[in-house]
Amino acid sequence: MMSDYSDDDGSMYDYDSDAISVEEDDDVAPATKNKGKEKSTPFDARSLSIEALQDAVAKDIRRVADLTGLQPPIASILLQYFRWNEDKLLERFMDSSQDVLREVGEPQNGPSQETARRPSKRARLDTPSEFMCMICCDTPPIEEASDIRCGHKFCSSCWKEYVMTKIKQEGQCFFKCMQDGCAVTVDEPNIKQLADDATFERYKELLRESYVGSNANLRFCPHPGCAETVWCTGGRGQSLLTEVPTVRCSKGHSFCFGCGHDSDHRPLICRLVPVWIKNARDDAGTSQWLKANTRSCPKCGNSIEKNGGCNRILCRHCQYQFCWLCMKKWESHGYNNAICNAWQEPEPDEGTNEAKKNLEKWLFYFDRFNNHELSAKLDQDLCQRTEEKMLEVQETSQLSWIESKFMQQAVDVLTACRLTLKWSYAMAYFLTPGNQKQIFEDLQADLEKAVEELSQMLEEDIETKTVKALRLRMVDKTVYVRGRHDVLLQDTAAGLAEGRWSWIIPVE
Amino acid sequence: MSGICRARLAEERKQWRKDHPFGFYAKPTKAVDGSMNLLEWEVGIPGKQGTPWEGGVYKLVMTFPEDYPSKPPKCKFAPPLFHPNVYPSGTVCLSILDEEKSWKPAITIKQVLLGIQELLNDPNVNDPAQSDAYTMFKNDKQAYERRVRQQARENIPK
Repeated sequence: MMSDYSDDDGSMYDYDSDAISVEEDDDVAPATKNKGKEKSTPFDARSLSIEALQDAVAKDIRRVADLTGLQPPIASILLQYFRWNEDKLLERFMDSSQDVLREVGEPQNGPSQETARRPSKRARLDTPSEFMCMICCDTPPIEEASDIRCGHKFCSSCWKEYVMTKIKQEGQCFFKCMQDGCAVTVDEPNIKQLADDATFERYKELLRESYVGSNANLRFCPHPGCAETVWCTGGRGQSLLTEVPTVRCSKGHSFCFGCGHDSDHRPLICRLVPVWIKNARDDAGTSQWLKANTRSCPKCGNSIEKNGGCNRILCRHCQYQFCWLCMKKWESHGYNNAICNAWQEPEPDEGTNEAKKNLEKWLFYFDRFNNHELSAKLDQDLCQRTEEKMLEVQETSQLSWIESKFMQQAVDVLTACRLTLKWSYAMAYFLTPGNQKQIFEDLQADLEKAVEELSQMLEEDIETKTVKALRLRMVDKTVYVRGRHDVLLQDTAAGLAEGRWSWIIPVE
Repeated sequence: MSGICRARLAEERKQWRKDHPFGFYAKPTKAVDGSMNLLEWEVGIPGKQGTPWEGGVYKLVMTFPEDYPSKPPKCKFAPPLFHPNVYPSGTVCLSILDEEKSWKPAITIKQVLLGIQELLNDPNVNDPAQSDAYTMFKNDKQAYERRVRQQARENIPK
């Protein structure tokens, strides 16, 4: 658990810059609420709403303002300049506040006289008595001109246009005065005054993005349309080799804090997820096409596409000639089609080369990975289709509403398990063959068997007479499946922590 | 914004006619019907005295977007220039011409052109835009200078 800290000066150096100031008693749901089964997660996590995140930003700004004696808007500029690294900021500020302020571009002694005069000097050329805005070259009454802390006056409509362009079009929340060479940053009160409400909201959003982007303990929920942010202590650097920091935002979306992958990819480690996904993306089309349209040369294993009607195939790679239908050597075969008409078990292939073996291995795991993805969807569909039937049965049998939910519960567990099984095939692909892999595959097989049994129950007819018995069997099986799921996840997590797994490719 | 854009460009034109640095020229192009196109200017930038660029006046087209001066103008040497920070298309790569970097709405055409003149003999090696000039500048300064002088001769105004 993170330590609580107060705002007094004394705690300043104890403050862990990686931690975020979230009240312990915040009413957000703990991000790991639904993961209660995993007893020893090595990391701590919680979900923050937009408001809670905004509070955290404001609190950091306020604390820096208190410690430095600066106005909060200036503290905010400093924090952004230091990429929200409060320790570094305070250290530098305590060394020399003047240096820091100069570096950030804050005016030192009020508005600079020299530059402040420039627009009017220019304006004097043709219209001596009037103010001329250097941006639009219009000459509005001086009351319509405004400036920020540097004193560079431009007309308000130009300021507005500039602020809106920066925020809305360019997506920036940290930008400087319009004057050439002026390094003074447009602060939040300026922006609030100049921008319309929607633009100001966008500004705050950009500020939060900057905050989250600079804080290794924060990550936005990657689920489309979800505005939650998760704070987590795990999932950085080397620790990603020994843990998979799966978190869940308070809206119920699971994702990986380590790599930002938008679903729970346990048990596979983060480093290997992109490798798998890239392989899958590259190969999904290719390998399936190869499988459907080509045959491998029986001698060298090269993939061959048939481009004409003749069954006599010459392998370009090794010059071997064979029959497309029976895959036998052409000389022994000739034009005697009789040889090809009966099914014969293929002979064990001795000449299979490395590439083909790899491809076959890949296809084996990839097919299973895909299959679980598809099956999870089909389980869901089936459950939805049976829901109506269930309502009917519920009325005629004596099931309570809550009891009738057993199918949905089974499907929820199935979905979670199939997700894990899916990634477990990716993991198995990367595991070095050996006893450890064998043990892993045994656990995987146990879970898979139980999952398929439960999935099969979903397809049973729902009848008033048998529904109670079905419910009993299904609830039992669901509990069992959940147990196997926990065992698999716990064992793989323990394996990661102990460094028990070895991979076929380097992950360091 | 186009209101601001045109008013500003008209004023820039006025100021330029009143006063501009020696050896430079800058004027809006004319459309076929003879009307003035304020969004596209023809510009000439002279090489600085005492540099290999001396003597040449390098032609450039400035194109102003509708949201100028929120956005910077695009500056393109025509024909393309042999220079490490000029893209093969002729477009100039300079921080003050990049809205993500140092562009400010208050930067005037005069400042932009002086900035480009400065860049001619003071290329930024951290930001190469073409390989020909960049590699020659890095590996063979003498050959680079010869090439620049040659280019200056080719660009003597008639």
